[in-house]
Parts: sequence; C-alpha cells; structure tokens
Amino acid sequence: MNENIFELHELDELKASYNLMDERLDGQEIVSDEQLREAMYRKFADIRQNAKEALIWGDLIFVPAMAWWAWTYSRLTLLGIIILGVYWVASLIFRFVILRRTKKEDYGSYDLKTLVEKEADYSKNVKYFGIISAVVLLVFFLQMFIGISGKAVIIFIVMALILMVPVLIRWLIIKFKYNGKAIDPATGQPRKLGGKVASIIGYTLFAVAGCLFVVATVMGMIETGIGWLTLLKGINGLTLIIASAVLLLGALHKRGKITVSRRLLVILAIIAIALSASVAGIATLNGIAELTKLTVSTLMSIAGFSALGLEMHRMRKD
Amino acid sequence: MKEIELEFTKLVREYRKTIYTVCYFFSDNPTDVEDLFQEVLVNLWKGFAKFRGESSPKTWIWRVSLNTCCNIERGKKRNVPTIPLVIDKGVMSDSDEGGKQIKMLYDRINRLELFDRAIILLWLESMRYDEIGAIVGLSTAAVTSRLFRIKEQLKSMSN
Repeated sequence: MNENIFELHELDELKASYNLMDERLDGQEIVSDEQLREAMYRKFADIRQNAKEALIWGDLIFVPAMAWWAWTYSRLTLLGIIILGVYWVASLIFRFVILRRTKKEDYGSYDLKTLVEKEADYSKNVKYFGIISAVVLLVFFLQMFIGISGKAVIIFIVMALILMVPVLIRWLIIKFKYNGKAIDPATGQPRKLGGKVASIIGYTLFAVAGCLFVVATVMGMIETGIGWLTLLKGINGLTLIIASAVLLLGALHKRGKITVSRRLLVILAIIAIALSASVAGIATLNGIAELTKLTVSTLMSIAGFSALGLEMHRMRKD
Repeated sequence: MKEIELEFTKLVREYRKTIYTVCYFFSDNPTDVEDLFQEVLVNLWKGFAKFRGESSPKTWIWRVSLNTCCNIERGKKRNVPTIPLVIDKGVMSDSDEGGKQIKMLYDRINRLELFDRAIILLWLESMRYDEIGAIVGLSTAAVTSRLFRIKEQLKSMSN
C-alpha cells in the first residue's frame, strides 16, 4: 500500500513537472520563419542528396563505360563481362529496390519500432554493399590494368574522378561563401548563384571528361594496336546492356518498386538502337559479314528488350 | 507562399510545443535541441504532402518527432545547419523552483533508453495506451507492461 502511494506521488510529481514545462512554453514563439523556410526549401538544396544522386548516376554510367573500355582493350573475357554485368544489375536492384524499400522517406508512415528495424536494415545493406562493391571493383581494376599503358590509365582515372568535381565545387561555394547555408535567409530560396555556377562548371567538366575519355580510348587503341573491330564489338555489348536496363527499369516500374519517366526509357532505347544500327551500317559498308550478322541479331534483341520494357512501363496502374 | 506552405506553417506553429518537448528530452544540450528541432521540421515537411489525416495531426506530429529524434540520437548524425530557436533561455533554466522541477524531470527521462523515453513522454502527454501503441509499434498489453517497468525504473532513480 505504502509502495503504491509512494509511486503515485512520484509519478504525480513527474506529471506536474511536465505540465509546468508545457505552461512555460505557452508564451514562446519557438519556431522562426527562417527555420520554416530552411525546412521547406531544403530538399532543393540538399548537398548530401546531390552527392548521393551523383554516386548513383556515376555507378550507372561508370560501370558500363568501364566494361566498354575493358572490352575494347581485350582486358575483359566473356566471363569477366558476365561478372561485371551481374554486378551492375545487382547494383541497380540494390539501389532502386532494396534501398528504396528500407528508406525512411516519410517518418509519419511508420511506427517507432518499424522505423528502428528499417533503419538497422538500411545501414546493414549499405555497409555490406559498400564492402562488396569495393572488393569487386578493386579486383576488376587490378586485373584490367595489368599491361595497359600508364598514360591511358591516368587519363581514365582522372576522367572518373572529374565526375565528382561539380558536387565538390557546389559544396565549396556554399561552405565558404555562404557559411554552409544553402538557403538565402533574405528570400527563403536556395542559392541561385551557387547552383548556376555549379551547373556551368559541371557541364564543362563533363565535356572535358568526355574528351579525355575519347583521347584515352584513341591513345590506348594506337598503343595496343587494337582496331575498330573490337571497338564495334564493345559498342554492341554496351547497347545490349542499355536495352537490358530499359527492360529491368520497365519491369520495376510496372511492379511499383520504382517510378521512372517514360521519356528516360525511350531515350535509352533510342540510344541503344541508334548505336547498334550504326555498328550494323559500318559493318555492312566495310563488308564484315560476321559482325553484320552479329549486330543484326543484337539489334533485334535490343528492339525486343526495349519494346518489352516500354510495354511494361505502360502497364502500371496508378 | 503556396497554400500547402501556409498550411504547414500553421500546423507547425500550432504544435511547436510538442516538437520542442520531444527535442528537449532527446537532446544532451541546448544546441542539440535546435538541431533536432530543425531535423524534425524537415521530416514533417517531407511527409506533409502525404499526410491525409488518417491519424490526428497531434498523433502524426508526435510520431514524426519521436521517429526523427530516436533515429538521430541512435546515429548521432546531424544533417542541417543550426538555426537558433525563438525562445527565452530563462524558461528552461533551473534558477527557480519550477526550473529545478523541470530539470529533475529531464535528468530522469534522459537516463532512460530511447524507446522508453518515447513511451514515457507519450504517457506524460496523457495519451491512451492504444494511441501510444500505435505510435511506437507495440500492442496495448506490451505498452502496459513496458510502462510498468519504466515507472519502476523512474522510481528507483529517486531512491
């Protein structure tokens, strides 16, 4: 009995303190206009989000480019390209399905227990995927670079690193010019100047990276004496990868796992078909019968994959 | 300002005390409160468009605030720049008797595990057990037994 009275008294005291705090907060404004603006416009200016997107797109573009490069220099066996292809598809599935499923975009949709479980899953997935990616890519690079000329390798590495520069520039501008504040307190809008400057620099750097890639490719071809035939075969492989991506993204969109714009799929399909048709044209004009046959069958596969992907995209019921 | 932004501003201003209270009990110092407050605002805004009133605004605000604070305190990661709150610093100081009482409450609750902290705050807010269960993801029976254990723990702190 005494115990119960004591407990009630203790808990009443806690409740009284809580109510007192509530009363004291009554007259306080607490939240400022600046805080509200920062919250509402932050999603447009989130540097971390930009960096994450850059990494995802970097992975999407970088792996096929790497495969093409390796194929061109005969640094990649059929087994190698299958392994890389599997890795690439796995990374797509990981990023667009598993991570999205465990991502806590809306904190109001889950109860606390579920959120904690999801967060634990998310961290675990990111950690394991990071380790696996690092090992796969490291082994791949090591085996690929053996025997390739130093100059071409350096250009290739610079080209890859340069893709991260726009994000870094934007971060530096906001960090040092605006003391880390991505929102202009006077207008409540994201920093226009920073964004504009960063995009100009970004496009320039992408162009430089593209040029370097071409230079590295040509240098490598001259040095290793590998002709256009291998390059054309490499392009054929790339087109198949792009078409497979259209199919995969279309299927995921249909199942509601991701949302992809139809325009993106159409653009990818057009790129794949145009590249493959060019290869077929070049092969026919040069009388390379074997490649012509191969490319025609590739072209048909690409058309089939793309059509199927686009059809699946259309079938989603929203 | 767009209509949705006006609605959001109105809702946040209405429930500012709730958000502040959660941040206060999940923080280690005043700067932490400001950081947490900003993170909660960001997450409220992210989810505001999807919030269709399936639950009451009060329950939704509690859920987002608790989820954000628990999650951040677990990882101790800060994503936003600190913006000072518009609050009289004297309100929460322990210079008078009332302030000391609030400090005592803070000291006790702050020693609990994050999950228990969330449950006891909802209990102090006089929420029903089923409402508490819906926010933290436990059955009513589990909330009852957990609250009993938390109260025992709080009691032992005073001894």
